[in-house]
Amino acid sequence: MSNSTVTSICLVISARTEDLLFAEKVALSCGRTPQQATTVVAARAFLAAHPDAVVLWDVDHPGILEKADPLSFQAVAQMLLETTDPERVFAISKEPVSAIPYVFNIPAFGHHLFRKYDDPAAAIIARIAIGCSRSDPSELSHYLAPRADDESAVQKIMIRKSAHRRAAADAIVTLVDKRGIHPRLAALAAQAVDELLMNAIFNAPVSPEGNTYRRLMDRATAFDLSERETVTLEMGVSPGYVVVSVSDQFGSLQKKAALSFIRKDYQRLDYKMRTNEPGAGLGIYGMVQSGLSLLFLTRAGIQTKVVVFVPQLKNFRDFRDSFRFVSFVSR
Amino acid sequence: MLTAQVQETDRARIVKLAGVLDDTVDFETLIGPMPRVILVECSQITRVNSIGVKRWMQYFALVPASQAQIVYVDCSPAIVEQFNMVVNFGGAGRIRSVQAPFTCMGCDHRFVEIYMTENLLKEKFNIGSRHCPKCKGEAVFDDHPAEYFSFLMR
Repeated sequence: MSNSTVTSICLVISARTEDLLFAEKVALSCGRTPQQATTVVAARAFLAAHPDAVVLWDVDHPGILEKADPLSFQAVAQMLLETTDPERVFAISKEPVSAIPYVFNIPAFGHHLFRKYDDPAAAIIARIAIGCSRSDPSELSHYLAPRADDESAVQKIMIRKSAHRRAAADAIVTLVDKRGIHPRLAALAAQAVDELLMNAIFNAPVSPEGNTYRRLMDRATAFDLSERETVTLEMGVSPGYVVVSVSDQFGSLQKKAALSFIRKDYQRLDYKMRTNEPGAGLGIYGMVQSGLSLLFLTRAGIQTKVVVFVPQLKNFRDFRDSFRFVSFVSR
Repeated sequence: MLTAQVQETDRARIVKLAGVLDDTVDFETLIGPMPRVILVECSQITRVNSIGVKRWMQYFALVPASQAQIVYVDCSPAIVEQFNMVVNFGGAGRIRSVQAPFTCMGCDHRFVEIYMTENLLKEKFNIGSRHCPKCKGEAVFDDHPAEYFSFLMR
């Protein structure tokens, strides 16, 4: 690992032992030194000395919403906005991010992790932390473990017709099934690819004036994609997980828009159907709710790539208990 | 693509759905206008996408209980996930039974068993182990009851 792409510390802003242990693993995986801060003052001092530190931040400890708390949400979030880039900040909670709405008040984080630290969580987060520091973080291989055999190779499929979307989703089922992954997980992966392809084909394309021009089309419409509209589907395998990505060539998806879908809570509040457009507004919400991990990589005007991480688990109960995350990286 | 086998009886229209619930579905064509009583058998629905959810809700969830009696039976895990994720997915319909997934501890064989929701509620979602139909070993419920049956706990 090149020292030029890593920084010196992995700062954990948390008083929890489990978070510190996880930070130690992440730090080890990406060649950094773990540091713990249990007050805002200490965290600020660390970040002043190491502005490019990776930050793991406990966002759901008891008392976080009390002003007097040494790690109150308001104080830490403000400090992070002043001292670092949200893409270096990994917010950690026990609950889904939709269950802790206050984190959206000050979006000082670029990533959200569940506090479930089974393998290969630390290795994945280390790869994402390193990927974020690259000038081009969009190479799928950045997020795979290097391997000696052919499995490290990334397979690529170009989607040139809108009607090929369903066949591509079916192909994902076959791919993950070959890896011995649970059929329900395989179905979730296929659903995710289907949603991402729909987004890439219908929502991503924008005219030179910045207007979407396929958004109002029925999603079952069959048409040829132009050279720029061609969508790339990539697949790769790493120990413990399979990754699948879908890329468009427009780079029009914004973090704010994706977060607005993720923060919805249709388990409690009625979903209101969109009547003015064919889309449902449930794709990203459903992917996150299903428990899959997602990495959104956007180069504005150039590319949006969304990477889905599918854990190689043989039973679904283990999947429910497994580590998961949502990440946003923009250039 | 979703397919439907439709059967009319004196008391209800029975519809057996199978396949992928997605943007290609047109329930008006598959099933016809919403009848007074409809039994929707969902055991063979394997996957659902967001447009499929919207189409489903346009057909089933907008109907007031006073106009139609909708009963969902043998809901597959893919459909159960939707009931869990979207609180108004089934509208005024009633979920009578669901498939519960099991995995054998011995041979990894996977199978489903049908549970009446009424009994699940009575038994407080306490699902014990089962005998694997393949090797007779112990098979366990392959999910967390609190998550898989969360739609019944609201």
